[in-house]
Formats: sequence, structure tokens, C-alpha cells
Amino acid sequence: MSAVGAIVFPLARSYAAHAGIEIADDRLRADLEGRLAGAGNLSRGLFVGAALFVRAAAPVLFLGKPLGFSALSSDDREELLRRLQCARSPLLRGLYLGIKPLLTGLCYTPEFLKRAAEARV
Amino acid sequence: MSEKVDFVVIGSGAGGSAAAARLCEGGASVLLAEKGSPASTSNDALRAIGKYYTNEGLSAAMGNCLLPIPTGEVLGGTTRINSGTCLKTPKDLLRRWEAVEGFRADGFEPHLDEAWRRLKVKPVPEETQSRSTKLFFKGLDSLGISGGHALERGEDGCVGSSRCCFICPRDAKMSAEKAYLAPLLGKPGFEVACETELVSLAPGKNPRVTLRSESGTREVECKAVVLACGTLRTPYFLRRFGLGRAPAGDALSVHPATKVFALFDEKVESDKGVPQAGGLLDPDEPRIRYEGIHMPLELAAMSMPFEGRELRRWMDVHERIATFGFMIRDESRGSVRYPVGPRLPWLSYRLQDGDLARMTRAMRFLGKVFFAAGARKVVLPLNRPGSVFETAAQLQKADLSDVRAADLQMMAFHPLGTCGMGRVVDGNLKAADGVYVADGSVVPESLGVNPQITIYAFALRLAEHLLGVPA
Ligand SMILES: Cc1cc2nc3c(=O)[nH]c(=O)nc-3n(C[C@H](O)[C@H](O)[C@H](O)COP(=O)(O)OP(=O)(O)OC[C@H]3O[C@@H](n4cnc5c(N)ncnc54)[C@H](O)[C@@H]3O)c2cc1C
Ligand code: SF4
Repeated sequence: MSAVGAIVFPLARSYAAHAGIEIADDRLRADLEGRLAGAGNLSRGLFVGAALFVRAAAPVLFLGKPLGFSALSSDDREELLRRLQCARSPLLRGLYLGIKPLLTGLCYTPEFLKRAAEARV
Repeated sequence: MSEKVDFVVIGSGAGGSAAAARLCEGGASVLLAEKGSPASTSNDALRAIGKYYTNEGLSAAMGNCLLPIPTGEVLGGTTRINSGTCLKTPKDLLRRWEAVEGFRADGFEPHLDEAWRRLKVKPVPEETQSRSTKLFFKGLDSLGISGGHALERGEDGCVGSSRCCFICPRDAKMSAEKAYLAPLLGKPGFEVACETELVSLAPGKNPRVTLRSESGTREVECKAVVLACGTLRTPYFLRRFGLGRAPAGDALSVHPATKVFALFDEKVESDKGVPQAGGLLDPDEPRIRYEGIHMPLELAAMSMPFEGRELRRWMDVHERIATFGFMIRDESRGSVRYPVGPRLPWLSYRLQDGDLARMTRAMRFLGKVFFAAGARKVVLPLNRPGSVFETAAQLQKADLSDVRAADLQMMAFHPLGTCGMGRVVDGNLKAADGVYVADGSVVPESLGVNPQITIYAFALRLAEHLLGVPA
């Protein structure tokens, strides 16, 4: 796995698990590497900064809890993600929005959305 | 040894392509340099953004809000990733611009008409209008609001596959390179050099440019250079080489824009149909223009103002979610600077109170229209709790007076004005001896309509001026 992938993967995995989206690790790894291969240097740099921020710094900054993202309780994770989404500081929001498309792109794939649509018919 | 050509045009977007083509059609030899490469289609919006958007789509202005401002870096420029909508420059603005010496509204209008024809502009037929657009019209009807209309777009063979902003898979959209460059490719005296970047510029009677590509550096001498690198890039060259009547880079207007989501009982299937198919000028506030907008499936989740489990709940019903957008003819202004060179411009923009009030007014209006069309829930683009409404009355009563610019989930697609005509360049778009500008940066003020037709017209007018065609 690439160095960037190794930093982003744990976040992608717990982000998906938190939303109740089941993706096998192998599949997630492959999809992530595919996305990273298509991304330029600027995006990759942002992914690393944003992943480290969400995984390690944001829980302390927003919740006062010195725990990694994946070690947070489910409610704390939900609250942290909500606070990130609602951050008023353009810099923090910018950092977070740098990685949100990658995370949502990995979780809410067209296949997922088609399955969700079919499940409702 | 430097090469010689009549005209060098830098950038192949709306301005650059139209100027280059008109110069060539007028008998001049032209070298068009474009930093990006030709696009190939793919059905993956994220990949298209990574490949064909400037700085991988990560350009954003900061100030009292975060305002992403995407542009294209590809043959055809931003027209390759735009929605194709065409509206002519409002007549009252044209008349006001007559205060700039050398500008005449009646001399400008034929160029608007020419661009209109060249882009094969036509209204979006009902069959290809997106379902969101139809729901918007239905809501207007039940509220008795008139003025909703099919938008007009430049296309030839559009089937409504809904991916206009991520490289049209059928090459149906009339982007700048399709409308202006493709018919001239292979013509003697006309060269399009892709992946070739302007790095240096010496104005004068016979200006010289230095162009860089992977295969090396080219020095070219010509009669005039036309800068068309876009509103966010052209100012770099004017500032770097001290050109223009005033420093370039200020007076940036952007048309701040956003969208409202609505949940319906029926399927909306927002990935079908022309996304920007319908529009309306606000009945009471002419600075607000409503236009359709839609995100392809792979971007749908990122565009909703939710996270975590709440986002999942919304994505489970995504096929029933309609969207419609709006933009503001802004009074707010921003600027562009280049602390680390042209590649990473620093953009600032502060949304003023008047524009903020228009944003909240417009989102409430759209919510009302969606409820009138039968929506179960409406989601306003607010990054704060309380953005979901279940009835029209609840939305009507909601106190949005404490919404701040930083709460808004906005984007802006129409940066304009940083080398404004009459301020930085003169009425003939001249910045210095032998150096002219023909892109969105010359538009003197916020337009209130999608700008491509105006930019094409400015470029055609400049080309005729350079060819010596009387206005
Ligand atoms: C998602 C989206 C949707 C839009 N939808 C619409 C719409 O429906 N209707 C409408 O009217 N407008 C729309 N627009 C806006 C419209 O497309 C732009 O305003 C217009 O294309 C701008 O033209 P331009 O010539 O100023 O610059 P651009 O089209 O941005 O072209 C500038 C070109 O210069 C190149 N360049 C930059 N620096 C250099 C350099 N140093 N050397 C060589 N080349 C360089 C760039 O790569 C680029 O190709 C949309 C924009 C976006 C982002
Ligand atoms: S709706 Fe589809 S076919 Fe029509 S211009 Fe857009 S991408 Fe092309």
C-alpha cells in the first residue's frame, strides 16, 4: 500500500463503518489506491494533512478527547463529524472538505446508491 | 532565434478560442498556447475533476466564508466543464459600460449574436429537462408565479446524460474548442499548442512571449499577444510585468451560488436529464437568478450538508432527492494575489450583508417552491443544525436572521472583473503596447447572467479590433 494510502485507509475504514457501510478491507484498499493513483500531488498532500487532522487532532480540538477517531464512541464520532461539517473557520472547513469527497466517494459509490434505490422498491 | 507569428493567444477558454479563431478566419497567423491537454471522456466525475479542473478542483476563496471557485485547465478551458447555459449580457449593463471610452453597446451586440449562432444555442426541450427542473416548474405553477422558463444552451446532439460539468460523454456540448477551434485545426497558419504555458512576456511594438512545454522553451515574436488565461490567472502576468492602467487582481466578482435539496415521495432520478435546464429571475429581487443544478451520483454525498449516520440516512433515499440552485449578482468583491506564483493564486472574498440576505431569501424561496411541488422535506445549504424543514409553514416561520456567511455551503462558478475594462484595461482591452486581454477578467462588473456569451463577445470584438475591422 502507498504511504498516502496507509495514512488515509484507517480513517476511510472507520468512516464507512460508522455509517454502517460494509466494504471488505481488500476492496476498500483497492478503491482507495485507485483514487489516489488518479489524484494529483496537491490532492494527495491535502488528503494526508486532512486524514491526520481528522484522525488525531480534531477529537482533541472539537471534543477535548485525546483519542484517535476510530477509538471514539459512536456518538462522539457522529458529533465530531457534525462539528467538522459545521466548522465556521474557512481553514478548518477547507481542510475537512479536502478529504470529504474522497471518503464519500469510497463509501457512497454508484453501486451502493443503486443498491439503496433497489432496496426501497 | 525567436519564431514569428502575427498573434499569440494564451489560453483556450471562451475568450482565447474565440479570439484565436476570429483572428485566423481574418487571415492572420495565430499560435494558441494552452496549459491543459485535450480532454477524453470518462464516466467518473472525481477523475474528471482531478484531471481537468485547475489545481484538481481545490481552488477556493477565503474570507468570512469558504468559497470554492472551480475553473478548467484543459483544451477549451472552463467551457469544457461548464453547464453550457447561454444568456446575453443585460442591456442596462452594456449601456453603463458605454462610459468607458471606445465601448459601444451597439458595436458589442452583433458579437453576442455571432457567439449565439456559433454555439448553436437553443432552449432545452421538455424531453431532456431534468426531473428537478420539472418539479421546480410545478412548484412555481402551484404558487402562481410566472417567469419560469427553459434555459438556452449551446449544444448539438445533447441527450440529457447529465454530466456537462465533467466532460460531456457525447461531445454534444458546444464548448469553446468544439465551436471555435475544431473547424480550424490543420489550417495553415493556425497552431494550437497544448500543455504549453506562458512564462514570460515583453510588451512593445513587437511583443515577445516565452512559452514552456515538456519539449522545451519557445520564444515567439508577434504583432500582439492576447492574454486569455482566465480571471484568476491573467492578473498574474499584468502584475508581474507591471502592465495595465491600475494594478490587476482586485474587483473580483463571482456570482456566489448554492442549491436547495428536497425529498419527494416519487423518484427524482437526478442523474437523468439536462441538469441546468430551467431558470427564473426572482420576481422581486433582480439580483437573484434561479437555475437548475445537479451532482452526479459519485459526488452526491459530498454535496449534502450532512455527515456520518445522518448523511447515510439521506443517501439511502437519494433517488428521491431533487435539487435546484441559484446565484447572486454580487455586490461583494474579492481579490486574487500570487504569493507563490501563478499556479497557486490566493483568493479572498468577503460576502457582504446585502448578498448574505439575498442568499437566505433565495434559499427560502426555493424551499417554498419545492414544498408547493409536493416535497416532504426541504434541506437548506446550511452547515449548522436546523437546516431540515418538514412543512412550508415551518420554513416560512424559521428565523434565518442569524445565518452567517460561514454557515453557508456555497460555490462560485463565474469569477470576473480582475482586469476590468475601463479600470485595468482600456475600452479596446489593451493592457500595454502589444498586450491585450480577452477573458472573464475584463468584464467590468458582476453580470447577473452566466458569463460565457459575454466573454466570447468581448473576445470576438477584440479580434476584429486587432484585424482592423471597423466597429
Ligand atoms: C462548473 C462550471 C459551470 C459553468 N457553467 C456555465 C454556464 O452554464 N454558462 C456560462 O455562461 N458559464 C458557465 N461557467 C463559466 C464559464 O465557463 C467561464 O466563465 C468561461 O469559460 C471563462 O472563460 P475565460 O476565457 O475567461 O477562461 P477559461 O475558460 O477558464 O480559460 C482559461 C484557459 O487558460 C489556460 N491557462 C491559464 N494559465 C495559462 C498559462 N500560463 N499558459 C497557457 N494557458 C493558460 C487555462 O488552462 C484555461 O484553459 C461555468 C463554470 C464552471 C466552473
Ligand atoms: S446533458 Fe449530457 S449530452 Fe447533454 S451536454 Fe450535458 S453531458 Fe452532454
